[in-house]
Amino acid sequence: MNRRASRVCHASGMSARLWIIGLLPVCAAAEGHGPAFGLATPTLGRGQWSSDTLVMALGTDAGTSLMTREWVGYGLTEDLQATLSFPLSSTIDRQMHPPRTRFGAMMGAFGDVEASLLWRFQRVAPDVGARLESTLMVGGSIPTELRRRGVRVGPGVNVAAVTGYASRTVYGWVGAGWQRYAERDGDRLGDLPYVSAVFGWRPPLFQHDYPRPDWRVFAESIAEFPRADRRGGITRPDDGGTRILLGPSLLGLYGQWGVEAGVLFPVRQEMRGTQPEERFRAKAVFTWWF
Amino acid sequence: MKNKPVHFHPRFPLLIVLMLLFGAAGSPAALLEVEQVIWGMDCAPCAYGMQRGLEKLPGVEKVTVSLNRGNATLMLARGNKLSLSAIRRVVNEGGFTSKEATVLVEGTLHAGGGHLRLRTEGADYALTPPAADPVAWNKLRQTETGAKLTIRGRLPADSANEITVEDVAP
Repeated sequence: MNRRASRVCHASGMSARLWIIGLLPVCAAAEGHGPAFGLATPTLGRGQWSSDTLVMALGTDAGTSLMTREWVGYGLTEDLQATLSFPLSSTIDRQMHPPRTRFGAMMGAFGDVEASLLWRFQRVAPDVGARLESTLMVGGSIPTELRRRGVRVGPGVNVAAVTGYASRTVYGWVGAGWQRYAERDGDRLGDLPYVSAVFGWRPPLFQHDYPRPDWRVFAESIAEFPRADRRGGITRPDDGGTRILLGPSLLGLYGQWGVEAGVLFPVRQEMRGTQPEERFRAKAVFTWWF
Repeated sequence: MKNKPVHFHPRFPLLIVLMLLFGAAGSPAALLEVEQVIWGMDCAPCAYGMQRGLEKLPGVEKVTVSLNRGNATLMLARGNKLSLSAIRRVVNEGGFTSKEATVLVEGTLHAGGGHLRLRTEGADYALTPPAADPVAWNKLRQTETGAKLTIRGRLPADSANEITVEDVAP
């Protein structure tokens, strides 16, 4: 078995174990009103759970990768939420130089198990169905693989802040975050600063009352500014850059179930060196509240 | 050892019937219906969580939640001991803001602290007159204390024990 095959088999075994963990009755009640890719404020009340199962395709010049991930959230209080997300399976490690990104702004990066605390430090309800709120997100991650992009990968931290407005007709969030990895044996993945903006709308056709299905559409944009990786104590000169993506997503909610799908396309890419150009990101999310 | 036989008084069955009759007549007074206005609830999962949380409260028979009107309506079992504070606690723990509530409450009229009051199994409400349309209030003032009444009224967001009376039925 060659080295790559060995790594894939290792990943598959890990995924199988994580699938089993994912099937345990760890309960769920999800992000609720939010976008597929961008940062949003959480919605879980005290004692509520949510589970999101995600499938994401990432297309680049070098090929298309498919990844799945599980995200579990729990409302410690109405303003403090704990989350855990972990990879289920991924083919992205088959790419020589996969893009640096998170699975979604609220998720960990590919290959990371990430635990986060989300603190809604500001909340105002100005009217029926409306709220203006801000959240701070702090997370820690551990990698499930030894190397990523040929670099030994260490634990990481992610800090993000988001503020936004949600109502029965329009939604909007803007947020920014910074992910940083620890050094491991002279190697270190470059930092990943990112910014996201989301605008949502619930057309009159979809403005039914609960418990009828609730649909909304979003326009989402993410800008990522990955910094260069360091290998053997030396920073790669042809790494890092800027990438801005934009695209639509659709969220459907019915009782304790939610489905969401979205796609992002790059509108600007300035990546250094010979890094493959990204073509698209597509994502589908299945959510369960209980 | 032989058990001592139990002898009932010949009038015991009659006592049981009387206890049941008086017990029913004096059944605990309580909130019967509550319409709680909720602000900040924007999504179906929010409504689902709210409905589920309220349904778990003791004495709740049925809950309907409206996102578009921004309220939850609770139908409560007779004899429940549920308070409006407990309902509002569930709303607030859901991450939302509880505003005014309209209640249908059954209780015993009494006077205390310079107010007409309505005592239920779970709470003691101060009754206040409405700003307009004093018909219900006049009817209430003509009622003797100790009478059992059903009152429809409103409670502001910042008070769970002061009812502005809108209607009264004996």
